[in-house]
Amino acid sequence: MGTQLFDQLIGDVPPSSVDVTAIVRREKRRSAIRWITGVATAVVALSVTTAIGLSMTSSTGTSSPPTAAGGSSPAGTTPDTRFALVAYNEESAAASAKRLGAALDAAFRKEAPGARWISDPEVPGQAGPDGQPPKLSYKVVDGASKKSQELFSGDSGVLNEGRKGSLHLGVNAIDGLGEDGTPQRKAGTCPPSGRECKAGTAPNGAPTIVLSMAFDQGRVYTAEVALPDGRALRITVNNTFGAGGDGAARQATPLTSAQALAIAVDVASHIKA
Amino acid sequence: MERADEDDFHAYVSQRLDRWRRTAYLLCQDWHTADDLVSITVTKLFRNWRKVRTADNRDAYAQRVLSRSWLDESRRSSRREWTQPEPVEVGWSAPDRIVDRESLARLLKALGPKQRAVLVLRFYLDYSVEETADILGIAAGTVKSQSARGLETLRAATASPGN
Repeated sequence: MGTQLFDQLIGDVPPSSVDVTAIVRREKRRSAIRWITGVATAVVALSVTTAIGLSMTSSTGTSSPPTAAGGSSPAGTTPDTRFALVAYNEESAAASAKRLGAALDAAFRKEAPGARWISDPEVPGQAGPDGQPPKLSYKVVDGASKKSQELFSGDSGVLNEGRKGSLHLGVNAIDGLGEDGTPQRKAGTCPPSGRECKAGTAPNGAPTIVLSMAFDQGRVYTAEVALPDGRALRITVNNTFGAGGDGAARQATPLTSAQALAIAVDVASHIKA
Repeated sequence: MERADEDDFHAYVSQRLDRWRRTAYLLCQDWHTADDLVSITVTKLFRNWRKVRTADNRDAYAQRVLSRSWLDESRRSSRREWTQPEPVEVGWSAPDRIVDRESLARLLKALGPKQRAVLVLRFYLDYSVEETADILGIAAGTVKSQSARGLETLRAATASPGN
Protein backbone atom coordinates (compact mmCIF):
# COMPACT_ATOMS: atom_id res chain seq x y z
CA MET A 1 0.00 0.00 0.00
CA GLY A 2 1.43 3.31 -1.05
CA THR A 3 4.75 1.84 -2.14
CA GLN A 4 4.26 2.98 -5.69
CA LEU A 5 3.63 6.53 -4.54
CA PHE A 6 6.78 6.47 -2.43
CA ASP A 7 8.74 5.26 -5.45
CA GLN A 8 7.30 8.12 -7.48
CA LEU A 9 8.53 10.51 -4.82
CA ILE A 10 12.00 8.97 -4.94
CA GLY A 11 12.09 9.41 -8.69
CA ASP A 12 15.33 8.76 -10.53
CA VAL A 13 18.02 7.51 -8.20
CA PRO A 14 21.34 9.31 -8.75
CA PRO A 15 24.65 7.43 -8.74
CA SER A 16 25.70 6.40 -5.26
CA SER A 17 28.43 8.31 -3.45
CA VAL A 18 28.61 5.62 -0.77
CA ASP A 19 32.12 4.14 -1.04
CA VAL A 20 31.88 0.86 0.83
CA THR A 21 35.47 -0.11 0.03
CA ALA A 22 36.77 3.16 1.46
CA ILE A 23 34.64 2.75 4.57
CA VAL A 24 36.03 -0.73 5.16
CA ARG A 25 39.59 0.49 4.62
CA ARG A 26 39.08 3.37 7.04
CA GLU A 27 37.54 1.15 9.69
CA LYS A 28 40.41 -1.31 9.42
CA ARG A 29 42.80 1.58 9.86
CA ARG A 30 40.92 2.80 12.91
CA SER A 31 40.91 -0.67 14.30
CA ALA A 32 44.68 -0.61 14.09
CA ILE A 33 44.73 2.76 15.83
CA ARG A 34 42.51 1.46 18.61
CA TRP A 35 44.87 -1.44 18.99
CA ILE A 36 47.81 0.85 19.45
CA THR A 37 46.13 3.00 22.02
CA GLY A 38 45.01 -0.05 23.95
CA VAL A 39 41.50 1.21 24.27
CA ALA A 40 38.65 -1.24 23.99
CA THR A 41 35.26 -0.48 22.57
CA ALA A 42 33.50 0.02 25.85
CA VAL A 43 33.95 1.78 29.13
CA VAL A 44 32.43 1.27 32.54
CA ALA A 45 29.27 3.22 33.19
CA LEU A 46 30.25 3.98 36.74
CA SER A 47 33.44 5.66 35.65
CA VAL A 48 31.65 7.66 33.00
CA THR A 49 29.17 8.80 35.58
CA THR A 50 31.99 9.73 37.90
CA ALA A 51 33.80 11.74 35.26
CA ILE A 52 30.69 13.56 34.19
CA GLY A 53 29.56 14.05 37.72
CA LEU A 54 32.83 15.65 38.63
CA SER A 55 32.58 17.89 35.61
CA MET A 56 29.10 18.94 36.62
CA THR A 57 30.18 19.57 40.16
CA SER A 58 33.04 21.77 39.11
CA SER A 59 31.09 23.68 36.51
CA THR A 60 28.29 26.09 37.13
CA GLY A 61 26.01 23.48 38.55
CA THR A 62 23.29 24.29 36.06
CA SER A 63 22.45 22.87 32.67
CA SER A 64 23.80 25.89 30.87
CA PRO A 65 26.70 25.44 28.41
CA PRO A 66 30.21 25.72 29.83
CA THR A 67 31.42 29.25 30.05
CA ALA A 68 34.84 30.67 30.48
CA ALA A 69 35.76 31.49 34.02
CA GLY A 70 37.59 34.64 34.86
CA GLY A 71 34.99 37.33 34.79
CA SER A 72 36.01 38.35 38.27
CA SER A 73 39.71 37.55 38.11
CA PRO A 74 41.96 39.74 40.18
CA ALA A 75 43.59 42.67 38.47
CA GLY A 76 46.98 41.85 37.00
CA THR A 77 46.26 38.16 36.53
CA THR A 78 45.47 36.37 33.30
CA PRO A 79 41.80 35.48 33.05
CA ASP A 80 41.11 31.77 33.21
CA THR A 81 39.75 31.04 29.75
CA ARG A 82 39.69 27.31 30.24
CA PHE A 83 36.43 25.44 29.80
CA ALA A 84 34.95 22.27 31.20
CA LEU A 85 34.01 19.40 28.91
CA VAL A 86 30.48 18.47 29.84
CA ALA A 87 28.11 16.18 28.00
CA TYR A 88 25.21 15.61 30.30
CA ASN A 89 22.67 17.04 27.87
CA GLU A 90 22.48 18.00 24.24
CA GLU A 91 23.13 21.70 24.79
CA SER A 92 26.15 21.27 27.04
CA ALA A 93 27.68 18.60 24.82
CA ALA A 94 27.22 20.69 21.68
CA ALA A 95 28.72 23.75 23.36
CA SER A 96 31.67 21.75 24.66
CA ALA A 97 32.28 20.22 21.25
CA LYS A 98 32.26 23.66 19.68
CA ARG A 99 34.79 25.06 22.14
CA LEU A 100 36.94 21.97 21.86
CA GLY A 101 36.90 22.27 18.08
CA ALA A 102 37.96 25.91 18.29
CA ALA A 103 40.80 24.98 20.64
CA LEU A 104 41.92 22.26 18.25
CA ASP A 105 41.91 24.62 15.29
CA ALA A 106 43.92 27.23 17.21
CA ALA A 107 46.45 24.66 18.41
CA PHE A 108 46.77 23.23 14.90
CA ARG A 109 47.52 26.64 13.41
CA LYS A 110 49.97 27.43 16.20
CA GLU A 111 51.91 24.19 16.28
CA ALA A 112 51.82 23.37 12.58
CA PRO A 113 51.75 26.75 10.82
CA GLY A 114 52.51 25.30 7.38
CA ALA A 115 49.78 22.69 7.54
CA ARG A 116 46.15 23.07 6.60
CA TRP A 117 42.93 21.15 6.95
CA ILE A 118 41.72 19.36 3.86
CA SER A 119 38.52 17.50 3.22
CA ASP A 120 38.76 13.79 3.96
CA PRO A 121 36.45 11.89 1.62
CA GLU A 122 36.44 8.91 3.96
CA VAL A 123 34.74 10.70 6.82
CA PRO A 124 30.94 10.28 6.51
CA GLY A 125 29.08 13.52 7.02
CA GLN A 126 32.28 15.47 7.42
CA ALA A 127 33.06 16.22 3.81
CA GLY A 128 33.39 19.92 3.26
CA PRO A 129 35.61 22.46 1.60
CA ASP A 130 39.34 22.42 2.30
CA GLY A 131 40.50 24.72 5.06
CA GLN A 132 37.66 23.87 7.41
CA PRO A 133 38.59 22.37 10.79
CA PRO A 134 36.86 19.10 11.70
CA LYS A 135 33.37 19.26 13.12
CA LEU A 136 33.53 17.41 16.39
CA SER A 137 30.81 14.95 17.24
CA TYR A 138 29.73 14.20 20.76
CA LYS A 139 27.79 11.77 22.86
CA VAL A 140 25.38 12.84 25.52
CA VAL A 141 25.95 10.84 28.66
CA ASP A 142 22.88 10.62 30.83
CA GLY A 143 20.96 7.97 32.67
CA ALA A 144 20.14 6.21 29.42
CA SER A 145 23.74 6.06 28.25
CA LYS A 146 25.46 3.33 30.10
CA LYS A 147 28.70 3.40 28.22
CA SER A 148 30.61 5.43 25.74
CA GLN A 149 34.06 5.22 24.34
CA GLU A 150 34.64 8.71 23.04
CA LEU A 151 32.60 11.58 24.34
CA PHE A 152 34.02 13.96 21.76
CA SER A 153 35.70 13.08 18.51
CA GLY A 154 36.44 14.38 15.06
CA ASP A 155 38.50 13.66 11.96
CA SER A 156 39.96 15.66 9.14
CA GLY A 157 42.47 15.34 6.38
CA VAL A 158 45.72 17.26 6.78
CA LEU A 159 48.11 18.55 4.13
CA ASN A 160 51.59 19.74 5.04
CA GLU A 161 54.41 20.31 2.57
CA GLY A 162 52.95 17.82 0.14
CA ARG A 163 52.37 15.16 2.75
CA LYS A 164 48.78 14.04 3.20
CA GLY A 165 47.29 12.22 6.12
CA SER A 166 44.51 12.30 8.65
CA LEU A 167 44.15 13.72 12.13
CA HIS A 168 41.78 12.34 14.71
CA LEU A 169 40.88 13.99 18.00
CA GLY A 170 39.24 11.93 20.69
CA VAL A 171 38.36 12.54 24.30
CA ASN A 172 37.68 9.38 26.20
CA ALA A 173 35.53 9.20 29.26
CA ILE A 174 37.87 7.22 31.46
CA ASP A 175 40.99 5.13 31.61
CA GLY A 176 41.61 2.69 28.79
CA LEU A 177 40.44 -0.86 29.00
CA GLY A 178 42.36 -3.85 27.82
CA GLU A 179 41.28 -5.89 24.84
CA ASP A 180 39.71 -8.36 27.26
CA GLY A 181 37.63 -5.57 28.78
CA THR A 182 39.62 -5.28 31.98
CA PRO A 183 41.18 -2.02 33.15
CA GLN A 184 44.59 -1.78 31.57
CA ARG A 185 46.20 1.56 32.23
CA LYS A 186 45.59 5.10 33.32
CA ALA A 187 45.45 8.01 30.91
CA GLY A 188 48.89 9.29 30.00
CA THR A 189 50.71 6.08 30.84
CA CYS A 190 52.23 3.59 28.43
CA PRO A 191 50.46 0.28 27.75
CA PRO A 192 52.06 -2.72 29.44
CA SER A 193 52.86 -4.36 26.12
CA GLY A 194 56.05 -3.71 24.24
CA ARG A 195 54.51 -1.17 21.88
CA GLU A 196 56.67 1.79 21.00
CA CYS A 197 55.77 4.38 23.60
CA LYS A 198 57.45 7.46 25.04
CA ALA A 199 56.15 8.94 28.28
CA GLY A 200 56.50 12.56 29.32
CA THR A 201 54.91 15.39 31.23
CA ALA A 202 53.05 18.46 29.97
CA PRO A 203 54.01 21.92 31.29
CA ASN A 204 51.03 21.80 33.63
CA GLY A 205 52.22 18.47 35.04
CA ALA A 206 49.77 16.26 33.18
CA PRO A 207 51.20 12.88 32.11
CA THR A 208 51.64 12.41 28.39
CA ILE A 209 52.61 9.61 26.08
CA VAL A 210 53.34 9.25 22.38
CA LEU A 211 52.60 5.89 20.83
CA SER A 212 53.96 4.92 17.44
CA MET A 213 53.02 2.12 15.14
CA ALA A 214 53.80 1.09 11.59
CA PHE A 215 51.63 -1.32 9.64
CA ASP A 216 51.75 -2.18 5.97
CA GLN A 217 52.66 1.19 4.46
CA GLY A 218 50.98 3.13 7.22
CA ARG A 219 52.51 5.11 10.03
CA VAL A 220 50.49 6.24 13.05
CA TYR A 221 51.35 8.51 15.95
CA THR A 222 49.04 8.94 18.90
CA ALA A 223 49.75 11.66 21.43
CA GLU A 224 47.77 11.35 24.63
CA VAL A 225 47.41 13.79 27.48
CA ALA A 226 45.73 12.96 30.76
CA LEU A 227 42.82 15.25 31.55
CA PRO A 228 41.30 15.92 34.94
CA ASP A 229 39.04 13.19 36.30
CA GLY A 230 40.90 10.39 34.55
CA ARG A 231 39.90 11.25 31.03
CA ALA A 232 42.33 11.34 28.13
CA LEU A 233 42.66 13.59 25.11
CA ARG A 234 44.26 11.98 22.08
CA ILE A 235 45.54 13.35 18.82
CA THR A 236 46.22 10.64 16.28
CA VAL A 237 48.02 11.42 13.05
CA ASN A 238 48.59 8.96 10.23
CA ASN A 239 49.83 8.99 6.67
CA THR A 240 46.89 7.27 5.07
CA PHE A 241 44.50 9.45 3.16
CA GLY A 242 42.00 9.00 0.41
CA ALA A 243 41.76 6.04 -1.86
CA GLY A 244 45.38 5.26 -2.55
CA GLY A 245 49.00 6.14 -2.19
CA ASP A 246 50.75 8.70 -4.28
CA GLY A 247 54.43 8.02 -3.94
CA ALA A 248 57.08 9.47 -1.70
CA ALA A 249 54.79 12.09 -0.20
CA ARG A 250 52.96 9.33 1.63
CA GLN A 251 56.02 7.88 3.30
CA ALA A 252 55.77 10.29 6.23
CA THR A 253 52.89 11.66 8.25
CA PRO A 254 51.89 15.27 7.56
CA LEU A 255 52.67 16.16 11.18
CA THR A 256 55.52 14.87 13.29
CA SER A 257 54.92 13.07 16.55
CA ALA A 258 56.26 16.16 18.33
CA GLN A 259 53.67 18.32 16.58
CA ALA A 260 50.90 15.87 17.45
CA LEU A 261 51.97 15.99 21.09
CA ALA A 262 52.24 19.79 21.06
CA ILE A 263 48.70 20.07 19.67
CA ALA A 264 47.36 17.62 22.23
CA VAL A 265 49.06 19.46 25.10
CA ASP A 266 47.87 22.83 23.82
CA VAL A 267 44.25 21.71 23.51
CA ALA A 268 44.36 19.95 26.87
CA SER A 269 45.66 23.10 28.54
CA HIS A 270 42.33 24.76 27.76
CA ILE A 271 40.32 22.13 29.57
CA LYS A 272 39.58 22.27 33.24
CA ALA A 273 38.04 19.75 35.57
CA MET B 1 37.74 -9.48 10.74
CA GLU B 2 38.48 -12.58 8.73
CA ARG B 3 38.61 -12.35 4.96
CA ALA B 4 35.52 -14.52 4.61
CA ASP B 5 33.61 -12.24 6.97
CA GLU B 6 34.67 -9.22 4.98
CA ASP B 7 33.55 -10.82 1.74
CA ASP B 8 30.24 -11.67 3.39
CA PHE B 9 29.92 -8.06 4.51
CA HIS B 10 30.58 -6.69 1.02
CA ALA B 11 28.09 -9.09 -0.52
CA TYR B 12 25.41 -8.23 1.98
CA VAL B 13 25.87 -4.48 1.68
CA SER B 14 25.99 -4.46 -2.11
CA GLN B 15 22.64 -6.26 -2.23
CA ARG B 16 20.95 -3.80 0.13
CA LEU B 17 22.59 -0.52 -0.80
CA ASP B 18 19.91 0.64 -3.22
CA ARG B 19 17.11 -0.13 -0.79
CA TRP B 20 18.91 1.71 2.02
CA ARG B 21 19.55 4.74 -0.19
CA ARG B 22 15.90 4.91 -1.20
CA THR B 23 14.78 4.62 2.39
CA ALA B 24 17.26 7.23 3.55
CA TYR B 25 16.08 9.58 0.82
CA LEU B 26 12.49 9.25 1.95
CA LEU B 27 13.57 10.10 5.47
CA CYS B 28 15.60 13.19 4.63
CA GLN B 29 14.53 13.98 1.04
CA ASP B 30 18.03 14.98 0.08
CA TRP B 31 20.36 12.61 -1.77
CA HIS B 32 23.56 14.02 -0.31
CA THR B 33 22.30 13.57 3.23
CA ALA B 34 20.84 10.20 2.30
CA ASP B 35 24.22 8.93 1.14
CA ASP B 36 25.82 10.29 4.32
CA LEU B 37 23.25 8.39 6.36
CA VAL B 38 23.90 5.20 4.43
CA SER B 39 27.65 5.66 4.85
CA ILE B 40 27.18 6.02 8.58
CA THR B 41 25.01 2.92 8.58
CA VAL B 42 27.54 0.89 6.61
CA THR B 43 30.26 2.02 9.02
CA LYS B 44 28.26 0.93 12.06
CA LEU B 45 27.37 -2.38 10.46
CA PHE B 46 31.01 -3.07 9.68
CA ARG B 47 32.05 -2.29 13.23
CA ASN B 48 29.46 -4.71 14.56
CA TRP B 49 29.50 -7.22 11.75
CA ARG B 50 30.08 -10.23 13.97
CA LYS B 51 26.90 -9.34 15.83
CA VAL B 52 24.98 -8.44 12.69
CA ARG B 53 25.81 -11.63 10.80
CA THR B 54 24.45 -13.76 13.63
CA ALA B 55 21.35 -11.65 14.18
CA ASP B 56 17.97 -13.32 13.67
CA ASN B 57 17.00 -10.66 11.15
CA ARG B 58 19.91 -8.83 9.58
CA ASP B 59 17.68 -6.53 7.59
CA ALA B 60 15.74 -5.40 10.63
CA TYR B 61 19.04 -4.82 12.43
CA ALA B 62 20.34 -2.74 9.53
CA GLN B 63 17.09 -0.81 9.29
CA ARG B 64 17.30 -0.09 12.99
CA VAL B 65 20.79 1.33 12.53
CA LEU B 66 19.71 3.45 9.57
CA SER B 67 16.55 4.77 11.20
CA ARG B 68 18.21 5.62 14.47
CA SER B 69 21.13 7.25 12.67
CA TRP B 70 18.56 9.41 10.93
CA LEU B 71 16.92 10.35 14.20
CA ASP B 72 20.31 11.08 15.79
CA GLU B 73 21.42 13.21 12.87
CA SER B 74 18.15 15.14 12.63
CA ARG B 75 18.23 15.81 16.36
CA ARG B 76 21.83 16.94 16.15
CA SER B 77 21.36 18.98 12.99
CA SER B 78 18.57 20.97 14.51
CA ARG B 79 21.01 22.13 17.19
CA ARG B 80 23.93 22.95 14.94
CA GLU B 81 24.16 26.58 14.18
CA TRP B 82 25.75 25.85 10.82
CA THR B 83 22.87 23.65 9.72
CA GLN B 84 19.47 25.12 9.25
CA PRO B 85 16.69 22.61 9.78
CA GLU B 86 14.31 22.40 6.90
CA PRO B 87 11.51 24.83 7.62
CA VAL B 88 8.03 23.48 8.01
CA GLU B 89 5.49 25.38 6.04
CA VAL B 90 3.51 27.53 8.38
CA GLY B 91 -0.22 27.16 8.17
CA TRP B 92 -0.10 23.96 6.15
CA SER B 93 -1.71 20.77 7.36
CA ALA B 94 -1.64 17.27 6.01
CA PRO B 95 -4.00 16.81 3.08
CA ASP B 96 -7.00 14.55 3.39
CA ARG B 97 -5.98 12.68 0.28
CA ILE B 98 -2.53 12.11 -1.15
CA VAL B 99 -2.91 11.77 -4.88
CA ASP B 100 0.54 12.63 -6.18
CA ARG B 101 4.20 12.74 -5.23
CA GLU B 102 4.02 16.43 -4.37
CA SER B 103 1.31 15.80 -1.80
CA LEU B 104 3.32 12.99 -0.28
CA ALA B 105 6.48 15.10 -0.26
CA ARG B 106 4.64 17.90 1.53
CA LEU B 107 3.18 15.46 4.01
CA LEU B 108 6.56 13.98 4.85
CA LYS B 109 8.21 17.38 5.15
CA ALA B 110 5.51 18.55 7.51
CA LEU B 111 6.13 15.66 9.88
CA GLY B 112 8.77 15.38 12.56
CA PRO B 113 11.68 12.99 11.98
CA LYS B 114 10.18 10.18 14.05
CA GLN B 115 6.73 10.47 12.51
CA ARG B 116 8.30 10.49 9.08
CA ALA B 117 10.28 7.37 9.96
CA VAL B 118 7.08 5.66 11.13
CA LEU B 119 5.38 6.31 7.80
CA VAL B 120 8.34 5.15 5.75
CA LEU B 121 8.81 1.98 7.77
CA ARG B 122 5.12 1.10 7.84
CA PHE B 123 3.99 2.05 4.36
CA TYR B 124 7.10 1.91 2.19
CA LEU B 125 9.00 -0.95 3.78
CA ASP B 126 5.87 -2.75 5.02
CA TYR B 127 7.11 -3.39 8.53
CA SER B 128 4.47 -4.33 11.07
CA VAL B 129 3.54 -2.08 13.97
CA GLU B 130 5.60 -4.22 16.33
CA GLU B 131 8.60 -4.33 14.01
CA THR B 132 8.44 -0.57 13.48
CA ALA B 133 8.25 -0.01 17.22
CA ASP B 134 11.27 -2.23 17.77
CA ILE B 135 13.29 -0.55 15.02
CA LEU B 136 12.60 2.95 16.33
CA GLY B 137 12.70 2.02 19.99
CA ILE B 138 9.23 3.35 20.72
CA ALA B 139 5.98 1.85 21.96
CA ALA B 140 3.66 0.05 19.57
CA GLY B 141 0.88 2.39 20.63
CA THR B 142 2.96 5.34 19.54
CA VAL B 143 3.48 3.76 16.15
CA LYS B 144 -0.25 3.22 15.80
CA SER B 145 -1.17 6.75 16.72
CA GLN B 146 1.54 8.35 14.60
CA SER B 147 0.74 6.25 11.55
CA ALA B 148 -3.05 6.47 11.75
CA ARG B 149 -3.30 9.65 9.75
CA GLY B 150 -0.74 8.47 7.24
CA LEU B 151 -2.56 5.20 6.79
CA GLU B 152 -5.78 7.03 6.15
CA THR B 153 -4.28 9.34 3.59
CA LEU B 154 -2.31 6.62 1.86
CA ARG B 155 -5.41 4.48 1.59
CA ALA B 156 -7.06 7.41 -0.05
CA ALA B 157 -4.16 7.60 -2.42
CA THR B 158 -4.45 4.01 -3.53
CA ALA B 159 -8.18 4.44 -4.04
CA SER B 160 -7.82 7.56 -6.12
CA PRO B 161 -7.84 7.46 -9.93
CA GLY B 162 -4.44 7.25 -11.52
CA ASN B 163 -2.76 5.41 -8.65
